[in-house]
Amino acid sequence: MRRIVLLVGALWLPVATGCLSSSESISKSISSPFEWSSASSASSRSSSRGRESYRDDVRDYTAAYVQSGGDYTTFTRGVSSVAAKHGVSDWESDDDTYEGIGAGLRKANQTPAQLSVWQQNLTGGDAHKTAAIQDGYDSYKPR
Amino acid sequence: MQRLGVTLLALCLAAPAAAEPRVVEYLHIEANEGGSSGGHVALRFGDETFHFQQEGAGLIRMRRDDTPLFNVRYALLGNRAIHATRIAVSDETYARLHDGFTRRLLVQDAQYDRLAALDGDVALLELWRRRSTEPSPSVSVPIRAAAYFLADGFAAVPPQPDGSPAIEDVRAGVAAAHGSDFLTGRIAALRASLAGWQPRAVRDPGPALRRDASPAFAATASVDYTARLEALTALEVLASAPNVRPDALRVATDLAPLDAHERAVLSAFAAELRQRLVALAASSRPDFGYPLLLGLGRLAAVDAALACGRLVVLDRFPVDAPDALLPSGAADRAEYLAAAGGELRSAAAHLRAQLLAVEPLREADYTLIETTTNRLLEIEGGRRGRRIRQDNAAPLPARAARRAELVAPPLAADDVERELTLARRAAAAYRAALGELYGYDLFARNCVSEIFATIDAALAGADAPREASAAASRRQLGGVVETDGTLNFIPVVSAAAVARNYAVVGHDTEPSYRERRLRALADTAAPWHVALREATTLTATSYHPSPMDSAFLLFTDQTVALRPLAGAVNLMVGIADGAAGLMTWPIDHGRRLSAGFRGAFFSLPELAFVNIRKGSMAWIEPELLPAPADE
Repeated sequence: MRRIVLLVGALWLPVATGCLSSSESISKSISSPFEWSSASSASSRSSSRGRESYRDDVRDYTAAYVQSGGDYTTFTRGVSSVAAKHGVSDWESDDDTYEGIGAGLRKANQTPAQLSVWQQNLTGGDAHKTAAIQDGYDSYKPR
Repeated sequence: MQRLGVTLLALCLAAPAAAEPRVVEYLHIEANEGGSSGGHVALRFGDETFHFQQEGAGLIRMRRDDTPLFNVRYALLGNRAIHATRIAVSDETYARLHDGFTRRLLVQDAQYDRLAALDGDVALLELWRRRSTEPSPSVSVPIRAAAYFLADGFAAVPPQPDGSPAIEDVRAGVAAAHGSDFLTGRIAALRASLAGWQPRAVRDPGPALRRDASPAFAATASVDYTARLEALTALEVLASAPNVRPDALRVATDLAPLDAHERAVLSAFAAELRQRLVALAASSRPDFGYPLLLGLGRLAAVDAALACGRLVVLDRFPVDAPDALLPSGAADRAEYLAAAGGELRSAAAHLRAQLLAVEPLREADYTLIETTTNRLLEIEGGRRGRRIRQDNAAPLPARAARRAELVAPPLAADDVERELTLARRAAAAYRAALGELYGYDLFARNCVSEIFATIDAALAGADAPREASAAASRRQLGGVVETDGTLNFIPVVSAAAVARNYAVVGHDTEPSYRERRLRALADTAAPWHVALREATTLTATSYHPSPMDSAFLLFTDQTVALRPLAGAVNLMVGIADGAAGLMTWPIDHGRRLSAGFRGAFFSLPELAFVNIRKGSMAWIEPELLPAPADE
């Protein structure tokens, strides 16, 4: 009897303590159509919250990237990836992208001189985008 | 006494309201059969919930979900109660923790993107190897969003005699903004660069991976090649202006026609989209091809919507999307689709009212409308008997068509073999490096330990010694939860440790679906009648079985004393169902056999008074879903 209990216990240990992906549907695809409605309901949160969330992710990606020592040459690929997760394919036309980048540069403690280099490299001199980066940089409040 | 009471009340009313302390919530999600049989944990910051899941190749990866969606998936569809322990923190600690979790998510996502790129190199070089042995049409490369204009196996895009007016407009805009020769010049330059392009595997493994450092790698061969080929295809589509394919667009005939204001908002969106596409055609961004192709398709869709007065969207489902999982019985399926359709209709109406009411319409908002409309039309099609395709979680549509004209020249056989070997080696080495950082370990690195490791790194820094992170935890959270050498790696034990050690200000429970339903049903009939009816899977009205559930007969989550007896019945049912599954194997590909085996397996703990299996839901009543948030 004791052996049986030990056997069942050994068999169950990995299962009873594990925290596997609860299903492929959560991580990779939404296989249950009923989850579509849940996802749509969740996504229908306010537009302003969605914008804020996008700006914050671009800010945090930028800060992490710059603090890790990355330069602008490989930076934009990561921006594309962050933007796509927020439903944005043309991130160059979205002011929130540049405001997020500006805030991220401030968060990463970039000096105004370093900021100018990033502005030039990322905007090619476009005044509107340059101003958006500056707005983000100026409006970020360090902790 | 009465005067004292009045005075106290007046004082209370007059006193300035104390600021609400910031709170993070440690969540313990109860066990159920399936992947999370030991329970699960997560950390919640308001409307964002972070947690870790084991994925393929034995890695554990962070996820961030919208809180309402997390609750629906786990508490309602997963039928697992969520117990929240509320921890009071200062504003600074809240921000520090949130930053730490977000940073880890973004860093990890970037590291996984790198893995996908290295795997892409292997696939590309295998394709290069096939080029010498297989006929040209079977050797092709998928181009995202190209299927909205072109069929699989397309080569260079030929000129169209009767092209799309929407795309011709953009083409004229490009000529006006960048010069009449711009398009032909950029296409020629891309072709020239591809004509000399050769795939080269990654040699340098790059800097060591860290949990807190964003990787900065150069583009791999597959990323570079795909970007160039997508750019070339997009510019060729722009130059030849083909009409969108008939199967690319979906007209929302199940929704109300567009009103005058919605038409005005969409018209302004189309005008802005045209301008953005003109700029995108000249972008220096290496990966501009995909957004350009997608934007051209969307422009055609919006123009079609304005012409017909109804929402028209691109079909977001991939060409080869598999069938979605649905309840097998006709009645269950009909009930399921009616519930899902009702909820999606409501979400679609809410999105329209919210997002098509004000200008300008942002791309991210358009994506939401496009996604929800697609899913609603898919469900409504399913109710009329059409197949329902499985959707993916990516927000942007990317229906790909394969391009058979690869432009870049083939490599000599020896060179391909050498590069392929190097590419495989690079991918394997990187996967191993990821495994060092994120390899799943039952005791040392699971969903619990990763939460606390991320908390420690956020509060004290990634490389802080244990004493320093413990001191930071005491100072900012009120105490320490140790995971090394304790049983705290078990989700339910960790929740108790959090309650004991941190500055806890309260507890909250999100009931499971069945708990809610049983409470609601309590007053509808005699208690004994409700209890008997809801105790079996055959008669319960509070159970809409998920296709993934195992075979069992008796619920054991609400009864403790009779649990071993019920477990014995479930064990026999599982064994019998598994035996029947042996005979139905040729028809159901072992599905019933698997359900029977799992049913027997999850009955074993019930024999010892332990409940894990609770049943999960294919669908839930739409009124249980969270209401959409308003501005």
